[in-house]
Amino acid sequence: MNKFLFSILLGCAVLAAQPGTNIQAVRAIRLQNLKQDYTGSTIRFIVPGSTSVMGVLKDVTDKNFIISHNGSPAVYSHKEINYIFIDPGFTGKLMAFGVGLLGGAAGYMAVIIARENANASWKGVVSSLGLALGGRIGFKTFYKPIKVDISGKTRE
Amino acid sequence: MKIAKYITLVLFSAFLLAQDGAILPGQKSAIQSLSTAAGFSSADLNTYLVQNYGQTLGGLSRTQGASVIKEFQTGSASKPVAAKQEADLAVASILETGMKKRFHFRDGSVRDGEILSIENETVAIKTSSGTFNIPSDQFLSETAEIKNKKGELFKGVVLGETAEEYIIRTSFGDAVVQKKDIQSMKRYHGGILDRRSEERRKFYQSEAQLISVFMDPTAFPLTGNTFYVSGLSIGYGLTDRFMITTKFGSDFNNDLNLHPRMRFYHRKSAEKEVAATWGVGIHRKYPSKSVIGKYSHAINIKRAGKTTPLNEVDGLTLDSVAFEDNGRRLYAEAFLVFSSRRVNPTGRGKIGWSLGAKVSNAFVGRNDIINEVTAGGDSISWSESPKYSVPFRTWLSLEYDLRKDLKFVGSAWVDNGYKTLSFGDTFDDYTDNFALDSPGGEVSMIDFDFGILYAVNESFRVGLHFQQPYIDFYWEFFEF
Repeated sequence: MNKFLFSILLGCAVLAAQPGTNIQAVRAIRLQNLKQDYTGSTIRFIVPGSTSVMGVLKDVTDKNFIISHNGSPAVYSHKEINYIFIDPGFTGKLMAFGVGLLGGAAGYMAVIIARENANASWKGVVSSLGLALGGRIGFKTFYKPIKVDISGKTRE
Repeated sequence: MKIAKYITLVLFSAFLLAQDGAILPGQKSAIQSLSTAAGFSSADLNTYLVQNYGQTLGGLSRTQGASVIKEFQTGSASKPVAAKQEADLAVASILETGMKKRFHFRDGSVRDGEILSIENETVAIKTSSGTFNIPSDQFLSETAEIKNKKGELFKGVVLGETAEEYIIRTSFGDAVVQKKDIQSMKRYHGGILDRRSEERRKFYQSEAQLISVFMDPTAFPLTGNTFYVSGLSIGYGLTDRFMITTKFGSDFNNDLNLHPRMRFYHRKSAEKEVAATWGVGIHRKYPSKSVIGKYSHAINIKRAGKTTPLNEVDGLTLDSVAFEDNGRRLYAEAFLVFSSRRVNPTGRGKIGWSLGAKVSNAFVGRNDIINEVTAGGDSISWSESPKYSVPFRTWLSLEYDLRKDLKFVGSAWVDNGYKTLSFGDTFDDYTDNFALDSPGGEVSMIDFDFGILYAVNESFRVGLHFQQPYIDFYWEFFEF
């Protein structure tokens, strides 16, 4: 009977240990991927205490992120950080604006084709609508942060 | 003419059907003799094929047949070992409380659910149909072979899957493979390749990655070292962000042309990919008649005080309007396109859109390419309407993965040079010089189109839609 109980306990311990082992291995690989993909990029993360930290990622060690703030390096522990955000830069804003401009141009073209003698009001209203719609789609598409998971979670 | 058209259509259909038919008898006998030479028994061969292709010898396609022959010839086909197979078919090696996914069982059943508890080797699993207590030895192992874009191959038990990654337990440790880096993937349940359930119900991306929707480009160019051939053009992906195409129909008519395309902005995560691309097209000797034909509705013919667009005047040909019979000049066009693709929340492939605009120099010096009067004394002039100030086209196209091998595609556009053509007229136009430049058709400057695109095999795609050119087909040869 004791042997049976011992076997059950041992079995449970092995099963319970699986996710733990897994978390460390998976997290290590994700940190490695983060270092490889985003070194030199501006990253943002929330440290305990709900403080948002932003800076250029310089290095990822086993325990810390090395971030550059205005040229001076700072070290943050990533122990309790599960997600990193990569914010879109100025180019993202330009792209969003570009989509808006295309929307405006499409609106203008549509109105001069659809109405033979379209007056300035028509042209202005439809172009502005196109610009606004295109701009909204552009910002939602091109001006959104990328969320990078560095947790050890293996499923959703 | 009609008979010739039907023969061409029948031949074309037969050609399309022939792209990936059932395995050829010659391929079958080659596989049998090669496998015998490699020491495979008939049973070994069937086991090998079912494990790797999900089919027996008779059920393979022509492409799969070629792939099997290649594996035997290169010696990469290894004989299935009975003990190993038994191990693969055994229990899932890792079952945890809280694991929530699609489980496959030894009796062939499949359940979506969450493991509530594991006690005395009995797993309580909660599904939408109720809670079941299932012995743990009934759960099939879930393994995968993943090849990433760098050529690395990972084999092991699938521990988990998120929107961004697969977590694989390999013999040498756990690997996290980002979905955006995956080139190909095979998934096995109990050691058997599960082609249908995985590929049809849930897949990361479809086989076709569109570089254009109908005739309009997307912001995603060909991947590096990929060769492209369609019915109108050929092209090559020089790098992952730069490609070049040429319209061979025009090339053979002394109008050498190049259409480079450059992706200048790109962001990609596993869930989403956005890009922006510019492109230009240069034609060395573009026929003036093509410009006149395309914009015939913008040319006014004044007869007895009445003005009528050229495309509505009976009995007036392009020859009587064009200033030179064989006039040609430099033609250039430029476009800008923004595209986005994201994972479909249903888990079945992706959804994407593209918004673009194109302009050309077709109206530069346009008065020089037409006569001032016809032989009959009617005056000819370009319309002064503002809609014909600049030749333009803007488009919004959509793509939606229906299955791994089937896409829904649609497009809406504003184009001051667009005319709809019937299928017969399009066919005549195309077979005339392998280009679409007919002056005919009904003016339709704001319009839309939709259709489907089918991936016949890994390199050949065929599409069907409801405006010209009605049928799309192209090949993409990777690592060419």
